[in-house]
Amino acid sequence: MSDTGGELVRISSLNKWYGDFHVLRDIDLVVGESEKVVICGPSGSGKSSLLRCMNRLESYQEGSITVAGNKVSDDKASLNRLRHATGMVFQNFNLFPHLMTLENLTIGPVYSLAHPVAEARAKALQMLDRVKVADQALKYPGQLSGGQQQRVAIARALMMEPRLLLFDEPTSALDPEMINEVLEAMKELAEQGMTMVIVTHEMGFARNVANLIGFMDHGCIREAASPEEFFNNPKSERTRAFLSQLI
Amino acid sequence: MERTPYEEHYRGAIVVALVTLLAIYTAIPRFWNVYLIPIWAVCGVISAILMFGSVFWLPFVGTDEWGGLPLTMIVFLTTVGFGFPLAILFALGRRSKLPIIKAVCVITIEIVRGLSLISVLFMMIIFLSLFLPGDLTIDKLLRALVGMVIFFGAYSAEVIRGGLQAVPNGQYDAVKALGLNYLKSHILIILLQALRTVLPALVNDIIGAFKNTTFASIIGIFDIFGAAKASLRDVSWTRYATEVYIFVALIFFIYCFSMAKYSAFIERRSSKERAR
Repeated sequence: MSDTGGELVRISSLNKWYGDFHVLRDIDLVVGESEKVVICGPSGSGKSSLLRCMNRLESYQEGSITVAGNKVSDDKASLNRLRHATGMVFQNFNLFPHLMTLENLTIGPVYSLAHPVAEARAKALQMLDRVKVADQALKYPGQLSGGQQQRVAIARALMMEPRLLLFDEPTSALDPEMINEVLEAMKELAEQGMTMVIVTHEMGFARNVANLIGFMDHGCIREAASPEEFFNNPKSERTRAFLSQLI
Repeated sequence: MERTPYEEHYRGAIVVALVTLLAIYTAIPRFWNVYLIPIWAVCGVISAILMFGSVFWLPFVGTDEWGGLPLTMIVFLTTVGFGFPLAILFALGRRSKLPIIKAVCVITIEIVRGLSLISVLFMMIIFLSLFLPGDLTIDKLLRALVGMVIFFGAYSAEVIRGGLQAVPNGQYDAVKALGLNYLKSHILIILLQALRTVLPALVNDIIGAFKNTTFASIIGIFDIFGAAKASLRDVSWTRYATEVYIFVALIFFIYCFSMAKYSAFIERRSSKERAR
């Protein structure tokens, strides 16, 4: 595992098809260590597919992705390292409904990294404290609010000590008043230097947190720029149209 | 055919008592623990010693002399005990990406599902001996048990497969993102949820397996129903036919009804956790 000068993710000329449908077209993207990249765009533009390619939840046909020195491929050992180097937070939380919050957090370290149970439990309580849901440790996901569930999901991803966190529309399934508590937790993570790739429609959050905003449409990255440039001086017509609908 | 001599009947009674007590113990959620597996294994060994004998002071009793409620219990527990893991393997195999494993599972499940239990049993009892070399005989009870295990496995596999399909895709994403391998993720996450979803249908199959033990009497194995019919051939018993059948029916009702009630209890218990 060799890292090249603070670069954590390198995607080059990535192409992906679902049957005849060309979802990702010639994607190039570099994410540096502790950078925050926000990807936005209309639904069906391939944002989630791009994110899911980065931890091999989905396969791709052409191009290459390297994450933390691992080429993203089907090779078992490299896939394992990739999954341990990345954490993912999903739109629908995807907590394990039959396990208590605490067990949801410990299952990864204990069964995937073979950490001792006691150590994992101590760390889990610490993580839950960090996202401010320590008091929910012994409840089941079904007993928590959406915002609490998503924060537990963030804590679960952090348990694996990932170098890269992927967020797939983390606030899209939440009631409006719960969005902020999740964004707050994400902002804190960002300030602590976590490398994050975030698919979201929360433009206020993107403006405050992102180093780079990528706008996707029809499987292409139409525009990739710093927040100031992206919001104040968008180059492509399509980006302007998208932004005018949002703001 | 010789039955177990009367003075050895207490051994079967002990097996029934042992198994029933252990089943009740197992049913209490407070005692759920991995230790139950070795405990059941020990119970199996003790039951086998009691049934076969020929060790300690116990005279040998062959399987062709077994009968009554102990035999019914043995057939039922073997069917479920081996059939249930087989069903899980069939269900997972049917969803496997490896074509050979998938083909074997699909073909077995579809063939067995296309047959009735009685034809599976006749195949095991009659056809199998036609294909085996003349001097090779496999114990009749064992053959019947293998038939019942495969039959239960194939039917329940489809129920379990339904449960696996009901597990949301997000759960598969989550276990992959955590780097859990196939075996661990299926045992800890996927199967647990799938089995919980299909518990009512699965209990249906298990109750069905209990009642299906009576098919053994058709191929000359003296389960409780076969034993009842056999004892009615005795002239002095014939006039008590009604009482005998009611008694047998009562035993079946007690066991099946408790299983149904227990499954309802488990459902209520797990729905508490999932309150949304």
